[in-house]
Amino acid sequence: MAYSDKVVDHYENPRNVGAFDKKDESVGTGLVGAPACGDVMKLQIKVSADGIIEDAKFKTFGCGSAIASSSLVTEWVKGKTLDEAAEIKNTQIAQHLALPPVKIHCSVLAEDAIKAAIADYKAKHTDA
Amino acid sequence: MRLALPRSFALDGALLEKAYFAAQRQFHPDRFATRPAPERLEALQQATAINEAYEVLKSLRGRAEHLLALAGHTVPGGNGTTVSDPALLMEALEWREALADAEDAAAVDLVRTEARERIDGLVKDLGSAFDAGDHRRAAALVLSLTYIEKLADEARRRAATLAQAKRAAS
Repeated sequence: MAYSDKVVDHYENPRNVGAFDKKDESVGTGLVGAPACGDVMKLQIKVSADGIIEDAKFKTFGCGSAIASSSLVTEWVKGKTLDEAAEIKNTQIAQHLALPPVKIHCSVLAEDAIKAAIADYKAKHTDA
Repeated sequence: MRLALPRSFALDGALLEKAYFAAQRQFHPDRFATRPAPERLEALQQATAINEAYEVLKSLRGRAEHLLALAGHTVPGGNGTTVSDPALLMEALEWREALADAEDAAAVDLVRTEARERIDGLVKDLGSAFDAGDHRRAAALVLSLTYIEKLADEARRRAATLAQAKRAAS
């Protein structure tokens, strides 16, 4: 299958690969999987005291589209508030990367990963 | 019940082969060559259905998923949906990291051996879950099996690449 130039670019030069300490209070971690293809994606955000995403990292084991989707999302969320980041839709990711229909689930995975990371961060900062 | 086999996860491979070849003989197009067209078509459809059944039952995961479907259960994460089971995904991530860090054939072999042992264990557990009629547990085990089979696939590919590189270097 032919990947779009943008997918190839993100795949060959993935942005923000790595990890933060998930126990860090300013870090939110999202871990999601797409069992249909055995993909697993970890996406982390580092949030400033005023609720802005300062940095993001990811680690994805999956196909090129899954890696590109998570790489793109880490770029997009930087500088956004948590609420803005939660607005990111898989359709925007799929459109930007020109993902073919069979690879749409990779963008779903990235959307779910950022949502999970935000939820994890919020859970850490909610007083019970 | 296309192959008239017992509805069981612990299916004897030899029994499956036997049932498959017997059914294939019964509906082989050659036997219907001189029959009227509707009968020929019917036999062809049967033969196709038998092939499909065989392919599903031959694979451990296919068999487990089929048994679950018959019991009205689905494996989470089907149809391109995502799952967020932290224990399972953490394990999957660690496995894949271990494979990514494995630099030589011996290290990759170690991952492959561990994956195989894990698959054997899961298959055993699946057998007991089905025997006990615990479909919820069986569905969770199938999900683990999906990830570990993916790891085994990747490890096999990695081993092949390493072997090729070694041949090219010598």
